[in-house]
Amino acid sequence: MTEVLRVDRLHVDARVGQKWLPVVTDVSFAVRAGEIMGLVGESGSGKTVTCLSVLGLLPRTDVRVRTGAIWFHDRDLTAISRRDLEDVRGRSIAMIPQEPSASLNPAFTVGDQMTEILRRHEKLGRAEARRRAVRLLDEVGIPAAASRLDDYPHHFSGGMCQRVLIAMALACNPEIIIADEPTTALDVTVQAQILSLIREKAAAHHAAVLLVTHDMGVVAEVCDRVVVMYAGQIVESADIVPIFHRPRHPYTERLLAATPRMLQHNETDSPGFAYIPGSMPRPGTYATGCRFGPRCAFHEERCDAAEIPLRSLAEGNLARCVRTDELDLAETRSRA
Amino acid sequence: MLQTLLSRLVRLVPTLILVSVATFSLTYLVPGDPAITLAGDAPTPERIAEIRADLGLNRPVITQYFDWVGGVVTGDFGHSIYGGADTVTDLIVQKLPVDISLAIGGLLVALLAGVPLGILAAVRRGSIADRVVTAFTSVSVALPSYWIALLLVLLFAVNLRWLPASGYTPPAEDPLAWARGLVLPSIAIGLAMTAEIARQLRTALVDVLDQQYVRTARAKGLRGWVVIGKHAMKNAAITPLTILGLQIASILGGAVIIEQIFGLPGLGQLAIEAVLQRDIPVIQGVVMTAVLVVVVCNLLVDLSYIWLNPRARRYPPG
Amino acid sequence: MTILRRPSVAISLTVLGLLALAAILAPVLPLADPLRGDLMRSLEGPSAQHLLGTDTLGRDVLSRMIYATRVSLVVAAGAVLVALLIGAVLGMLAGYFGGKFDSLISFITDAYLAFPPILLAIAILGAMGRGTVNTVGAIAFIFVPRFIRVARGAVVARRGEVYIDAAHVIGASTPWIIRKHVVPNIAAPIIVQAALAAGFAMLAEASLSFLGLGVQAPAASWGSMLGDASQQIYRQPLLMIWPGLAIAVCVFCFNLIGEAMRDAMRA
Repeated sequence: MTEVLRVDRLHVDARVGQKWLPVVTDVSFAVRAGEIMGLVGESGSGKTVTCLSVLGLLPRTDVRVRTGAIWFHDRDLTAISRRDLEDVRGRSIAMIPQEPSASLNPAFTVGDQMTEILRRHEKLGRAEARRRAVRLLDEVGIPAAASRLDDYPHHFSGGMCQRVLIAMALACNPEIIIADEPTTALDVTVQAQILSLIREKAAAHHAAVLLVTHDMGVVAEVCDRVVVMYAGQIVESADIVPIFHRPRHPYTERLLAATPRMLQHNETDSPGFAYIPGSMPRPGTYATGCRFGPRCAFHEERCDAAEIPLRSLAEGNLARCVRTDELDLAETRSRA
Repeated sequence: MLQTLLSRLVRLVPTLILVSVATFSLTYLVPGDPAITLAGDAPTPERIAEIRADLGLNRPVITQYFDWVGGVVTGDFGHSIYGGADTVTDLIVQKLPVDISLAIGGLLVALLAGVPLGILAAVRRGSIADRVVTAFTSVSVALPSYWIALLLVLLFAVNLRWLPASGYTPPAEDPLAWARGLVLPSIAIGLAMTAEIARQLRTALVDVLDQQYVRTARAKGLRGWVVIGKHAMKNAAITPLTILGLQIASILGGAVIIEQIFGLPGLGQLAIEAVLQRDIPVIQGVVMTAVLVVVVCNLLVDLSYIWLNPRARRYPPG
Repeated sequence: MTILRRPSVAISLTVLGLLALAAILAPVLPLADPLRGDLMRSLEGPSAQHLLGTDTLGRDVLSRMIYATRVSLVVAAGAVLVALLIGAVLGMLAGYFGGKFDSLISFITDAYLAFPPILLAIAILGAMGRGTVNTVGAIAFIFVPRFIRVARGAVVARRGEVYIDAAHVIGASTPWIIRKHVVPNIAAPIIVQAALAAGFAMLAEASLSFLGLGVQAPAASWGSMLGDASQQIYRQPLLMIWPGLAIAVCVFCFNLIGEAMRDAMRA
């Protein structure tokens, strides 16, 4: 399968006060055409910085790519000119943002914001753009789409706003859609609908998806493959089924244990979920050796010895753990 | 929109009434009998009585007030104490174009200079450009506009002789001379507004540029200037606009002095002459006019606020 | 009080302090007589004898400037003080008692703000006559609504607070409550407003004196000196630099202090 996007040994620094600290360390992964790749981690893991770096959406005064590349076909997105980047955004690579209600401009109608992207990239006339906009809104399940074009964002609920944003992402038939925690700000009941909408429409438009989330439950719903990040590094990377059956990194296992199950329609409350003691180290305060070490139940002295490489395992997945072959984390999971 | 306009107008009425009462009572601020003051030196009782009759001062105060207000509402401010063929309204109407020209000039300067500076400072927040702009705005606010005017005259009119130091030519007569004569006064008056606009815009824009919807606009691949000029500005312009509207009142005050310096025959000059001569009806007329202008400007600002911020509309569609 | 450590505030206070000091010490400083001039030496530029030159009547500009400091500072400070006292009291009472009194005060304040301030001051001076005292009154009159607003706002914000009700319950009298509880709380915003108003008051006085309506000869303020200088712009352009500069520096300092205080209060 062809690769649509390849992140290649990306190192990103962020400015904290006067100093520049590493927030993304040596991250590499690829997203193949038509697949849904999950990028998972707690807040602070570097997942958002990584995905925003793809489109260069972080302020240059505060965040910069130190080394590495982000390949979109044969172009390195970290190295192309601003004008070229603007041409790529929205057209070839689209984004579904995190807080839907805050992501639409309150001063313009929804129709205006939708036709805007169509006229920018596809050079459509006003009438044609409106027609396409109506079709797209219809497609994402907004009732009476035509009359809604002239409404303002504050007339839409959070879930509806997200549908609008999904429609905008699909508008120019991008090759890959980056979804930055698309359901985090929504009600639980709406989350499932939005996720399945994303999956369905991405497939219909032949777009790959890079789904950033902190919730393994979301990953379970829609992803084909998963990359787990911790403290700026990738700690595990695998296909969806293996990672759920047998995680190869203690952090992944803990993430799975900590996942609240999504409510089925006749359940009334969610089962309690385990939490991970301690907190993610902040940039600049990483331990030597394994960054997860201080919080890991399986920590041993040799974990601190040296930087731990991301190793290829027999089954084709990757894990950054010196003890991965010894541990059977599937068993641990079932005991939790 | 129409409903809002009407409701605003209705709310204005009590304010205008109060203002008219206050303006009217200026006559009575004068210590002693106004007629005596007006009679000048060595007043004879006959002269005083004559003046009283002329001005209707022997009638009850309330009657005088309603008389005056009645006139105001129909646009009649009475006559200058010193006679003359023109009514006060005539005088005001004659001088008004000067002030309008000055106001437009000042506004143009303020927008042409203030908006780009505000945008520059916001987009390059924290940089040298930003700090220069901020320093400039802080200093400008402290500078008396007439001092700037004098300095401008000194530089451009006296030394360089590029522009006239004073005088006004009506646009109908000679548009070029009209424009040239207005350059320096407009800059003098516009400078304070420029600083305010730049400062307010910067603050508002810095806030707006951090918002999610700006990032979404960028993610859509819109060009940089579209993101700022369309998406950011429509939201950021709200605060500076309202502040500017509220500033109209103080701008009018500064205009008085600018007119004096540049010899512009506007309402300010009229007011000062009237004050020096204790010509009460003219003072009243000018003050009421000024208040009306302020009130209308505030109304316009209110309405544009609603246009810019759809969430403020009271009667949403659908 | 940490704002005093801010360089902008420290410098501003020093500058203002020096000016005030110069104003107070004027009579004992080795200055030329500000009222006597040598007509043979009028409109001269800076020289060893007259550091800032001479004016139309041959008077020493430097000495006039220093004596004018008194007038400018006193008028500005005086106007602000008067406005503060009247405005704070009215605002406080309006906020505390609420009801019709409050509505009336608020309504009057709103109407007030429709008047262009300078024009209002000019009109007042026109009716009452020119002069320093009337100028203080006119400028104070312009600033009263600002203080009413600030005081009222501060009181209203705390109207519901428990300690006021508690004080009522233990039978405290209203004046006592106002003195002990309300006044300290509005002190801070009022002081900030006073600092900000001081700068504008100075500009207002300068404007009025510039126009010949404020301070009258033989007394001089920076504004009136600027007004005189503007007449001589062709013959001695340097004259107008000093008073304008003095006004600008003073106002700038007041603004810096006021803004620093306002920022400190917000934090």
